[in-house]
Amino acid sequence: MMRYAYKDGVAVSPRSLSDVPKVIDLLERLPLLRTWRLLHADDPEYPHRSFIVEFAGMPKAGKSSAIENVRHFFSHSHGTRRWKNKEEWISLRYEVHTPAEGVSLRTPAILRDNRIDFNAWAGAYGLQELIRAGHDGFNDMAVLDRGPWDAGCWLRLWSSTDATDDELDSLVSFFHLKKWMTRADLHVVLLVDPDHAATREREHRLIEHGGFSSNEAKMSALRAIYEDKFQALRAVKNAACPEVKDRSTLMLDTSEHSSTEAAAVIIDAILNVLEAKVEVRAKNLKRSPTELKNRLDNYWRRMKPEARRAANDFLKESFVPTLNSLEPWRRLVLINRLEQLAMPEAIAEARVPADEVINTLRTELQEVQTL
Amino acid sequence: MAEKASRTWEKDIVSRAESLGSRHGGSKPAVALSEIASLRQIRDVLFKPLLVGGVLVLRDHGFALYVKSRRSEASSFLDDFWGNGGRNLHPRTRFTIAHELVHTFLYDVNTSPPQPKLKASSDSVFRKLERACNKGAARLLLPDIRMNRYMAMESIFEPEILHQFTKESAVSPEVFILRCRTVAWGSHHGGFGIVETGSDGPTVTYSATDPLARGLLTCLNGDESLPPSTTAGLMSRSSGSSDEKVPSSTGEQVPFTSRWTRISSSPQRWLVTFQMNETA
Repeated sequence: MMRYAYKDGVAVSPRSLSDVPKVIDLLERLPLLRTWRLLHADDPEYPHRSFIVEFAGMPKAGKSSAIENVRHFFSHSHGTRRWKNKEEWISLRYEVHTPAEGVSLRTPAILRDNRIDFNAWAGAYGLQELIRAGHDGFNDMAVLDRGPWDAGCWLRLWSSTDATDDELDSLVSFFHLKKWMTRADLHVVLLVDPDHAATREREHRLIEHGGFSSNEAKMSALRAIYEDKFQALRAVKNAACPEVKDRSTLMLDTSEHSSTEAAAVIIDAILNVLEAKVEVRAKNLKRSPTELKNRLDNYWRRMKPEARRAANDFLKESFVPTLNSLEPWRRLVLINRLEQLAMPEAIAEARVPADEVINTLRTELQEVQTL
Repeated sequence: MAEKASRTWEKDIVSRAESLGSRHGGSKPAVALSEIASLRQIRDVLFKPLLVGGVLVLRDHGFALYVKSRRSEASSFLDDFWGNGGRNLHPRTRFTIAHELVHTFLYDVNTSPPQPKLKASSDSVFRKLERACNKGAARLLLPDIRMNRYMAMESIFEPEILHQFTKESAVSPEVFILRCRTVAWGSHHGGFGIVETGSDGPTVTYSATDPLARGLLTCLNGDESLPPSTTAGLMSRSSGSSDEKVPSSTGEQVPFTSRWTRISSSPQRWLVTFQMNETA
């Protein structure tokens, strides 16, 4: 299995799969999460919610490693050379909440004898975390290691033994309610070949484990359930979020991926969802020369008529068209910078020179373009 | 009449700046701007991103001063301003504050809010006013008492010593050069310059007592008659010196020493001095 090479603390050039995103390209898009959070603050229903990623998938598919990599990427990338020491209004140090996995760490062991109780408990725990993330004003992102959707898939696996079909249908339907499915911004479903899963299991054991991941028949059945339910999940989410469509669901077979490669693909998927959502919300995020001029009115008032004309021309012919053509997140950064440049009180002194104003605006624009 | 009036303001501005500068930093490491701000009825100082370097705002019973800074610097700048007199602020920021403080001289601070004592009715008056405030700011930051102490030294043409002096005074070399135009040089003959290389070639800001030194400093703008070793030195070494001769108007070869040190690399800026040596 191929590994990443590291340069300046950043993994570069994945060599085994040509379609795995380059880490440097992922870093480039880091401000998307902050932009989404800022734009989302206008949401009437969940203005404070975190960006939610719900992981599901087969044992030994690499969920825990991927989650840790996602958490590390979003909480530490601000310290990479790409972003360190950039004078920026946003802090790119994100808070990422990764609650402990319900199934293996939180669900009481005494429930293991009853598959329905066990998975219902785990699903309820995942659901609580999902609901909580919808009201989380502190964390920028919540990454759930098995949420309610995953619990629904596992319940289906045991359908023939521990409950009536009707009961199971109701339970699965509850965990697969559109209301819960559409609450997560991205569902990541990780699959693995049963053979690979057994190998991974053995790699870390001194003696034979004999757990679920070694049971090829059960693993194959579970994989079939995930593949089937994933189609339904995708259909529901596509209908609910037409602007994001397929990007809100990712199914990845990690059998041939290293954990870092899988993480890069998942982070890319997260950024793709963010990009789509920011794009939609940023459609109206444009400024006209008049709006800007009004916002900076306290300077404009103190300009001589010729200086005002020069500054107006600069706004109209150069600054505003460039601003409106920037990528949404850069546009938002620049608009926020302009907000901060506004002068809250009337200037007492004589005249504001147009060249100084124009130079400052030009510098701000150049800085944002090269962030 | 207007000319006479503007000379009077300038004189008044410079003399008040000198007096405040001497009292609040004449013998200290650098002038304490916060002490002067309090005396000038500055009620509030705000560091924030601005489109211009600094602006004065009228408040009841005084002024507020807005000074340009990055958002990330605002808190530390404010701490330094009130806690340390602003001595660790960037020289450019200090000059902006000093300039705005000098602007308050143009107001009657006994009224509420302060009333302007004069109006810049035309462009030329406005420009003269701004120039006068710049001179006043330079005087506030480098009062005569401080300049005279430097000029009394033997080694005033050593760029490293000059650079150290400007750092201790928390001023830019440009402010020093501006002040050199209005200070007694004693027995020193020569000149100081700052050379900055830009896309349009080098530019030089200078002050000189000696016409030959002035001529040499003008040459730094790109004239080929600049002594080759000085040019080569500027380009190749961060600091150095060279002994040369330059023909005077009578054709006599006058010896001089050029010295330079690089004070910043982006953009490239050098502090250059020409010391005219006595002929045998």
